[in-house]
Amino acid sequence: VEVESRARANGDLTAIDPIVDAIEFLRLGADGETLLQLLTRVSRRLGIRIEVHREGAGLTGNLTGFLYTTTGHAHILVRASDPLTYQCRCILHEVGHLLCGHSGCVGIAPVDDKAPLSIAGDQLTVSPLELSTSLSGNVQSSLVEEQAELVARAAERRLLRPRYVRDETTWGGA
Amino acid sequence: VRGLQYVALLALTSVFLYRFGILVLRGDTKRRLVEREFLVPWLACGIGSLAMLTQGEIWSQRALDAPLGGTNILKLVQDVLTVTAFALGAWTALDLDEQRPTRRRTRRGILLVIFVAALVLTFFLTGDRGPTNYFYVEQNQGRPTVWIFAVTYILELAGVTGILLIGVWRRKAWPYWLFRIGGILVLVACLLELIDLVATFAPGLEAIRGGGRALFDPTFYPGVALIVAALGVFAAVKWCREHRISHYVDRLGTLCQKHALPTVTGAGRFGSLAQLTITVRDSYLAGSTPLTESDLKLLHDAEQFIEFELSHLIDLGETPTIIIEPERTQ
Repeated sequence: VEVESRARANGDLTAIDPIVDAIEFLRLGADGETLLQLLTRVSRRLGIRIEVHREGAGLTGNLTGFLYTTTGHAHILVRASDPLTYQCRCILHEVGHLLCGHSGCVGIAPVDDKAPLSIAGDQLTVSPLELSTSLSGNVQSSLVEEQAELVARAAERRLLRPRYVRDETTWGGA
Repeated sequence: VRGLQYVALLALTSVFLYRFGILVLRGDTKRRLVEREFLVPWLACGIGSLAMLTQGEIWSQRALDAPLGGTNILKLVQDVLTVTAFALGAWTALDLDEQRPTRRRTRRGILLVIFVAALVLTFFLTGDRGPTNYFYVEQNQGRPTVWIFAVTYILELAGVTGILLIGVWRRKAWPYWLFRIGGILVLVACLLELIDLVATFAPGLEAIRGGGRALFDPTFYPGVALIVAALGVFAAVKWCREHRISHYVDRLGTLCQKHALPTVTGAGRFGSLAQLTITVRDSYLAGSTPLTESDLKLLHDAEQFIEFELSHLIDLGETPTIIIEPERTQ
């Protein structure tokens, strides 16, 4: 609703379409869908290989998740040192970017202006990343980030349901 | 046996009243009353309680049977209520796996009507039933019409219990073990009763007559109590989890207010909690919210709680890199 009112104020309703599409896609998942199953569905829908790197290479300070896309590939970086629930939320945020058709997180750039990721064979090299100072002021209000975040929240609400919720509701009372 | 009957009655009535409390106290009564997931198990418990009450624990069978004519019609009412209660439980179990079970529900409704009609018909085959008698069937099963009624009842009870067992057999939540053991005990009780009924007329089985019947109650009522206990366990597990979620949501919400962080509205139970932990953790990692040791412990406990409850959904395994191909997952 927030994004819609802002988009209406700007006269740009196209901002809502990716979110609606993404949420519709999320709804297609089976009951009890896991995070890995969701990633598989996203991979199939977009026809890309998704790699989730949990070493946290390149992520420093308050930078806890990052998405970098190349042709046919999406690299999602999270830090294994963060709580699992937090890592999952970071992954869902990056999935939000993917489903909205974004190429990556805005406002995050390599410290030394190199490409964020370079791949030679199986070797992935990550440049140190930071929240770009020139863009950081806009990051919180950035529509792109808001879109990804809204999709992440919707995905989280769908995923985070007790394992036996139907059994408990049926036999234990709603 | 009386003690077992009391336990089963108490368990059924407790679950029935618990659901009634939900209906009255939690609001949204109209929706719940038309929601099959809520209504059918509730009716099953209520009807089961009524069936247990006809055993004479609270009011004597003579007093209950008198308004019906005092000719053992109470026995028919008891059997109809028992079969209906088990059938509603069985239909509920079958519904758990089905997305659109409307057509099958109609068939099941017709089947239940046939079951009840068969009981009524076979019961009234016996003209002279005598005065109210707790042992009406046992003392009259030598009469062919009473025997037919007894066999019809026990086959129907075994049938719906079997369907109930099929419905819950592959369900994975641990309280279903109580269901399974309870259902098996009821089936064993039905088998014992059936053996006893067969022995009534079968030559050479005189020695075991009455034995199966004697074992029916000690097997049947614990079975019923276990099935109802499973319902109680489901309710307790749900209640405990919701209580813990409320606890963490309240405390993290207060923490967010204290640090002028956004709180959560309309995100569902787990969704709200997850959102709050993310908000606090984000702000803490960004260095904009200093947290005390007790705040950090609260945050950590809430995260651990989510992780424990939802480990099956968010498990990322041990590998540092997860690769998901469009066609296959490594």
